[in-house]
Amino acid sequence: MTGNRPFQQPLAWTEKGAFVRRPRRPLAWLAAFLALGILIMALNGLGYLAPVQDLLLRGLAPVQGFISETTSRVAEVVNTARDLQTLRARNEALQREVDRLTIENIQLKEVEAENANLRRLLDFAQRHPFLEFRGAEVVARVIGRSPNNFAGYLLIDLGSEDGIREGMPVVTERGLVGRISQVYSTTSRVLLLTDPSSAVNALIQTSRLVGLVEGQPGGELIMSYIPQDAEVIPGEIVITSGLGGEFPRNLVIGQITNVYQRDYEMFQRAVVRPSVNFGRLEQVLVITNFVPLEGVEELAAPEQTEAP
Amino acid sequence: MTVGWAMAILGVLTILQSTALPRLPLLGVHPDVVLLAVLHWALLRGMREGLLWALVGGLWLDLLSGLPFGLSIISLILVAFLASLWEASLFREHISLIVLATALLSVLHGGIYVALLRLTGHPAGSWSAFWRISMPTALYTSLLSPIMFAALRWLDAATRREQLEW
Repeated sequence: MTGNRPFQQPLAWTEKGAFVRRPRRPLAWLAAFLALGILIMALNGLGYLAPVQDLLLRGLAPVQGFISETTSRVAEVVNTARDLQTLRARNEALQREVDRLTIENIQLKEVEAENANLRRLLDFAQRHPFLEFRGAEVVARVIGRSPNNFAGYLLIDLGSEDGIREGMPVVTERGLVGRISQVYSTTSRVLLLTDPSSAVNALIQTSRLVGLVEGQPGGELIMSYIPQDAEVIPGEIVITSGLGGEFPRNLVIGQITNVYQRDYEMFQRAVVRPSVNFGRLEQVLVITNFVPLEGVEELAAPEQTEAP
Repeated sequence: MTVGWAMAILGVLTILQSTALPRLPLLGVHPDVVLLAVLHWALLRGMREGLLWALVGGLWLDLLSGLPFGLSIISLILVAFLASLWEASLFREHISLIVLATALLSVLHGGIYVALLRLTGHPAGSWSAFWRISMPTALYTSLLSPIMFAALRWLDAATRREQLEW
């Protein structure tokens, strides 16, 4: 039944009576595939796979975009049907808020105009970063996310051909999303604030205390290196400080929800709830005229801070 | 089952895992359907095809994930090897064994992946990441195993006569 061929391997029955071949030297097969895997890693490290990756992402982008959009629409219909009553109440509350904000906006525009005049008069060197970015934001569509739960990345449909460069900050109207970490010809990867390798110099808006906001496994944000003797109150807004030159200042990161203070530690830590809902991002803005400073050391610890 | 088919099936699963599945989070994670497919194919078809699917699936994941390249390849090869050592006929009759085996192998995969992240110095390589990400991912992934196993068992039966072609 097994035949007379050389190098015959052991056979086993399956439920339909067909044979499954089992390799005689399973560890050899394992070693061979691992070696192949390491070879592929080496090729990637030497840059040989970069053109393949670029070509693949270029081809996949329309498919990913279509699936993302379809999924968004389906999710929207399902959520709308389910939350109709809640949405009605929320709509009324939001309409009241819009009315209030419209009036506040008008007042702020007056202040802004006056501020601009004063700066011109005083030849004020420090520029408000928000004003700086008007006309220099590019809208990008989110076409995918990291398939891996350990990574916090988005894939957007703009790349080097659209003027996107590594390090450009990415925002929404609600606040900071992250920065461009890898650029391909027609797509780019955005490193989210919540990724464990992300670290942003920040400050608490009211008290002006500086610290470092770091992503944690599971999507949390922790602000570290807050002076031990400082008073930190939940509810305070955290914004970018601009220190280190990686991000513009005054971009909203989130709101403090919890503070961890231990007497035996040199610094306090605070949990920050991001202002952006990273799970529902469909469009983002890439700030194209902010040039990150290179070679400037950030305020960072030797080891990543873990959430308590 | 040709290499081309493996690339196509695992490619589709990877794209779904990066587009639609993040919209269905449970405990803050989405399921790893590529891992699921690799494990079940290794259970059904044995070592050689299981390792091939692990290589192809890992390649797809590493190309799209943004994490250090090669970690998915290595971790999937290791768990596919272990899965292929188990006796497939046991699993055909007992759905609970499929779920249990998938859960155990998924946890192991998560542990291997975290260890590899730590080796490469990536900040996500921590004990915290194992508890917050690997464990919920293993749980969510194993819940889908009856569906994936049924689909791949049908594919296995339909393609049983084909030889592995390079």
